[in-house]
Amino acid sequence: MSPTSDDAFAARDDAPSLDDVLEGEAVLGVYRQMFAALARDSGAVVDDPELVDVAETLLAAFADAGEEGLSREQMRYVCRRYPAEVFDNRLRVLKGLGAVREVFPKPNQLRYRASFTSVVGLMFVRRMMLDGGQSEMHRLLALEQLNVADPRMTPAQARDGADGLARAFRLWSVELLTLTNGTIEELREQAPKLWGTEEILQRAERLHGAILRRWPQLDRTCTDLRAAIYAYGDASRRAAARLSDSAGTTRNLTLLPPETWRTFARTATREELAAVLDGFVFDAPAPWHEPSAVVAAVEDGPRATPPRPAPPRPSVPDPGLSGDTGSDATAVERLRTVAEQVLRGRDRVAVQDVLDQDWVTARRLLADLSSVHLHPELPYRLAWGDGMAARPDGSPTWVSSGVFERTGR
Amino acid sequence: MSVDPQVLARARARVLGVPSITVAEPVPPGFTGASDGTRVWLLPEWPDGATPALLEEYDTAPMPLDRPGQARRVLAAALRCCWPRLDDAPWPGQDALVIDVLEVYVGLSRGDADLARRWATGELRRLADTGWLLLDEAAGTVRPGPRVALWADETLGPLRDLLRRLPEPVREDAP
Amino acid sequence: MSELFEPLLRSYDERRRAELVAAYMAVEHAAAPVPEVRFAALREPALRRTVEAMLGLSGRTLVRAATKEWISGYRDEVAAELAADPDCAPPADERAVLTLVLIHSVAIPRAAGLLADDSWQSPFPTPVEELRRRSQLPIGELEAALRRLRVAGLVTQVKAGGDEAGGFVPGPQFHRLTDAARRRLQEELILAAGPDSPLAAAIRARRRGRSNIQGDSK
Repeated sequence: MSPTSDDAFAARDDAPSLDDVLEGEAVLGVYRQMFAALARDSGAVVDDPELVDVAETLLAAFADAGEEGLSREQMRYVCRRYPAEVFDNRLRVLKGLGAVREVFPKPNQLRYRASFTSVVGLMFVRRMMLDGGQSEMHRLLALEQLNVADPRMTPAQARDGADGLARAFRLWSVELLTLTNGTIEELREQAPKLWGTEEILQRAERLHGAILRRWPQLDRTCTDLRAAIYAYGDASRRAAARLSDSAGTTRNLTLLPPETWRTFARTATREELAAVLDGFVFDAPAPWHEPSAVVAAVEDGPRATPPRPAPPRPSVPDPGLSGDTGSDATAVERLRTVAEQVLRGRDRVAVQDVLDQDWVTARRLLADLSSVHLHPELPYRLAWGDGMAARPDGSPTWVSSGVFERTGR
Repeated sequence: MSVDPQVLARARARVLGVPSITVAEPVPPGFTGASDGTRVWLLPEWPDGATPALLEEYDTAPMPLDRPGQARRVLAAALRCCWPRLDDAPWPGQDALVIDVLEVYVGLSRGDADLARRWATGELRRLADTGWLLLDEAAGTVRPGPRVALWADETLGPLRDLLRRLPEPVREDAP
Repeated sequence: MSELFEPLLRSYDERRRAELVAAYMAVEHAAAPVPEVRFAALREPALRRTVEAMLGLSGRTLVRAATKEWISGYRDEVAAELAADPDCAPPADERAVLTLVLIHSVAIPRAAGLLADDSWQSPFPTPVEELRRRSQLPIGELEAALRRLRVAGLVTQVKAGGDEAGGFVPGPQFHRLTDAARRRLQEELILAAGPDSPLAAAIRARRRGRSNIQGDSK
């Protein structure tokens, strides 16, 4: 990722997207937190993401330039898209803090070099942004584990290391607990960066055991560390429990990163994949073929020798889902015909008169009349009275009074 | 907290499609039995003679079906062969040769006959999987499936007329 | 006349009876949740209770989709009993392919923040190439399983068109999972793909707690 490449410049010439802005804010947030311990006052950290970009652009250019370093003109050139005063201001600060040093390879020739520490610092910031320090914690724990085994390590150094870890775990716990008591959306977004996997907790406990075995006199420090690890484990579990209890039936899938899902999908065996759906049952396929649909399929189907001209086809694409339902216009026309057959020229009829046939036919007719009633374009309606008449020998046994009629249109 | 066994049996039938039992066993309540004399297929019981065709009346799409037209033409071709006495009910019908069904289907379609036979063979399998036909691939025979017993007799008129009009199977290797 | 439903339907007049039957058939056979505006028996709570009772006769229940849309599915306790029956479980190769489709079409887009609705439906097809080349499933088995899953409405094929690559998305049957079943599906996926994650630990702890309570009450 070299910000001096043309692509990077081309991209930056566009107005920043919301994501760019958010990411810029995130970088600054981590910066502020990281250097808060060293800041003289709260204004000492930059408050514009662009200023971080200047530093990053410069450091990348230094890396490309090698031991020759860069001249002031070259630095200005790679930062040409930033206003001159922004550039001057950044260079002054970077020089003042030692991130960029002046060197004189030849008399009267002023060149600049970048400090290794600053570049590492920026890499560190980017990683912190990605996982909130999870991977740094892994590295730190692994390093401490090596230190504990190092014969040169003193008890005082071991105590300092353990104290630092205990503090980190406590702060992590506090932040997680605060989130756990906040909104579910924020918890869902932040928790994966903060909570501890089983692996981190196990590593921390192993380290704790190793310190205690080598320096039994550090038992007080170790008790503290153990308490901090437990508190952190507890906070992680509580956050996870709240999320797993939360409403929603797919939203928690976001709590594993896409890469974890992809790795599982690509490496899991058939049995592991199948086990996910253990205990789920589904309907057998049971398509329905109505006799009239079978007739229609044959009559509308292609033929070796067409007995009659093929019916005109609508030019709209196949709706896909339902090959069954006719087009809307046909349906409306069918319903209009049904309505007129029922009315037979009259303006209104009693429903119970037209339903006086076998129940299956009556039910179909009733469904049609309901559809007619509901259709906004058809000028008919179905109105029901409150009364009900018993018909002990009839089918159905109860009939309510209702009329089917034309509306004024 | 166990489930009523009758309720469970009806749910199980929906998972399995159309399960069958021997004629010796009683048909559990809530099923319509379709017997061929040896086995009884357990069909769902629907209220007031309704069928899934009702969905069309309410402009509601049924579960999607690949190439419904082709499936139904193959079903028609099969019925032409295994429902010879059209005045009777289609179920249980009688065995017919798959090759005859394929020839009737070829007569209903346009284009390459071999291709049509291949499509129809796949379709016969799907119709058998879903209970509309009973297919014995080893014997090369097919007969109506238990689901046709769900058809109400008063809806069968046009289908009977259609099948009467369809040509009988003519085999290329016939003497 | 159906003996099964008669005790539930007997007291209704023909209009309500027809509405109940229509709603029952619609939720049982539709491809997608049906809007209650079109079915009076789903709209009115008292009638809806009767539809629920009709479904209950076959171990089914109403599943609410969006607000005011309904479909049916297996009751949770019925699904649990059926799942214990080996005849009712889909074959392993179909389940494996279906899990892959759920991961690629739902879990990954969800983790990447691309899905807005809390649903197992997805507009992101799982590319066939992904299934073919980058999974541990044999190709022959894969094609046959996809065919059967498609016929059963468990996956839907999305045709390639324009810039869009084709593939498979979860099918209409996923409308029919109850809330509890959907939640369990989410949990099973998390347990399988991230067994080491704190969330998996929380899921396991909660299930242990629940089975202890059930064990105590027996």
